[in-house]
Amino acid sequence: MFSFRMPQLTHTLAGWCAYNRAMNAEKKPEVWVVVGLKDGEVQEASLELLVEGRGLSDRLGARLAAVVLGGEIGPVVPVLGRQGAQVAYICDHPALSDPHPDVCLPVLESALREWVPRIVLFPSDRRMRILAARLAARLGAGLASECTKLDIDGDGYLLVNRPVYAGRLSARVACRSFPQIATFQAGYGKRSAAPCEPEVHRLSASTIAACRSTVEAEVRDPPCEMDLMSADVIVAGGRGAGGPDGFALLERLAQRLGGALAASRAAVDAGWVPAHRQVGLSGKTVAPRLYIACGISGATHHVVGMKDAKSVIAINNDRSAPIFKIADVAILGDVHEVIPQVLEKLEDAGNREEAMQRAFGNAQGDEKWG
Amino acid sequence: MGLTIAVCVTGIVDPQALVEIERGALVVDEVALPHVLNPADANALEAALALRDSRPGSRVVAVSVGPSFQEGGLREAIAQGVDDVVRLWDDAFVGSDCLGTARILAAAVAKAEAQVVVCGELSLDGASGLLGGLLAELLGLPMADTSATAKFTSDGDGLLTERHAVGGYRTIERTPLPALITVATGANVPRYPTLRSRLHSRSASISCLGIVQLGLDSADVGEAGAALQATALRRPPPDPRGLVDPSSDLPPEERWMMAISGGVQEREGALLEGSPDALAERLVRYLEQGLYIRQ
Repeated sequence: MFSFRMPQLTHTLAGWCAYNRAMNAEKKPEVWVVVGLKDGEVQEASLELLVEGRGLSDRLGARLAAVVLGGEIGPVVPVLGRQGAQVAYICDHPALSDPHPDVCLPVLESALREWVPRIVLFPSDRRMRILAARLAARLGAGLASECTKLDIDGDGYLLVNRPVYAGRLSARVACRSFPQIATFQAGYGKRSAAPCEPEVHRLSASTIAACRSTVEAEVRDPPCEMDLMSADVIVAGGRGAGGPDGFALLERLAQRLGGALAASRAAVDAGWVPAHRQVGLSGKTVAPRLYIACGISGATHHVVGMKDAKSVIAINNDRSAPIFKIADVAILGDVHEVIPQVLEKLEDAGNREEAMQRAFGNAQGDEKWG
Repeated sequence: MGLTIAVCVTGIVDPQALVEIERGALVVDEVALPHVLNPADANALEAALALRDSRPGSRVVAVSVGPSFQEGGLREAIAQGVDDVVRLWDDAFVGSDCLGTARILAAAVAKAEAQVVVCGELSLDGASGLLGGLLAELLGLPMADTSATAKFTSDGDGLLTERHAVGGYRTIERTPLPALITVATGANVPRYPTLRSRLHSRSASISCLGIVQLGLDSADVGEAGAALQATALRRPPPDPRGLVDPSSDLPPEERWMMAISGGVQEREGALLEGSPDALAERLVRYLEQGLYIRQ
């Protein structure tokens, strides 16, 4: 165990005193990791951060605690234990299923004042960064963001590496306050810690606050406006799409799949599609979950822009088209014949599902077909 | 009714510039380095000016923490057409961490009695991306982050912001005034200053407020108030990079193309043939299996 020197800062004295009071009251020192959930499961970045946090808590002779605020947490507790969490603080409340910082902050703050951890770690995503910042401002605590490495210095304080000057330099920064707060950039290193059975504490939901901003609407861009880099599905056409009519078909397909419309250089040069939708060496580099190449031969200049797509479907009427070599599904056929059929079948499938849901009710339909 | 809109800007070391460090130094001497307006702040500035223009009688005040050699950002703001600029600097501010900087800005924003605060989502040099959250909490304001667009609601007592998310989704959020928004990098195209305003910005005088005028406590800002202390500064190791190893059986131009492309992985999809109907059926089945079809 480290001997703790008093911090020099006057404004963290209160934090230091609170920490010492807690230690005198025989509370165990703790390192907290605020865990983010995605679709009811623990985020990858948080899993890594838990292992990272366990390393720190072992060095301090402290306990690692995972803090989870969410709508339905029960199933994730064993996962936290597998990643080395010795304690789990959970707050299960429907209002937390959309964890807006306005809603979560009071819960986190009151828990923090009750249990007095030494170090609080956050994964580095948009919401968690805001939550960490608001917490630090409330407590007057030191906050290091976007850390790439976490460590403990000789005095028992958090020591981090973080990039500065747009990544040209890396600074090693000591965080001297109580508590020490940091957000961590996960590198998705798949490591694991000694598993344990976490001791579960439920946090009171009475402090949950209302969210001051409201979501008015959630809309989705049409295929021609959607940002190519962030699209899940991309339907791309080349010279083989034959002209604006062909692209109208592709746009309908993209619309149906909730994806974006893209093109190869040949189609852009022909003036069928605006230049900002071009994929390839002289256009954009994309990595969607699904890339559907329609009437694109697959010249290297195009392929370099989409080779990182998770799966590729290619439709082409030339048996020797190089795009087939990098396709998961290679379809030898004419775009103008295949795509209308696909659209028709998708329409049918949509209608079938709708009819099914009408017949069985939503919940049952989801269970059976979801 | 006019409002006061405060926009926080910062001058950063030019991202193209070579940053030299002396052995054992803990801070970079920035005096001799070229400074530019932080890219996200240029977008924040444009968002603030657009808000002002949509509401007659409003004014925009640009605030910036930094010594005089960093005031290029404020001059850029003058050229773009802000109504007032304030530089915040004092010897006591040297060595502030992000919370200290946020305290200084919060004091200035409160002094300007701004109802809307606009910040860039992050600065490229410190890259902490925390300022918005810290400032919102210090001022007790609701916050809409990484906005692509911002406008006043029709009744005028709120802001409608739009945030772009992965997959082409856009969220439109309503935040009551007074409020703080952060603007995403590249969210808009900053207006092009006229020659007249550019020349005016060169010679305009910029007022500077110090610790006394802002009513701050010297224990809260600068080195005295910084919980973060740099202990080392170095060049990061380069990222590991995969090397392309093209097969020597290939003709030279193919090998070149592979090297340029970073090596394209071949996949093992079998070539499907048949009637358009049968092919479409296979494709739809693949889409269904991959859960690409949503309602």
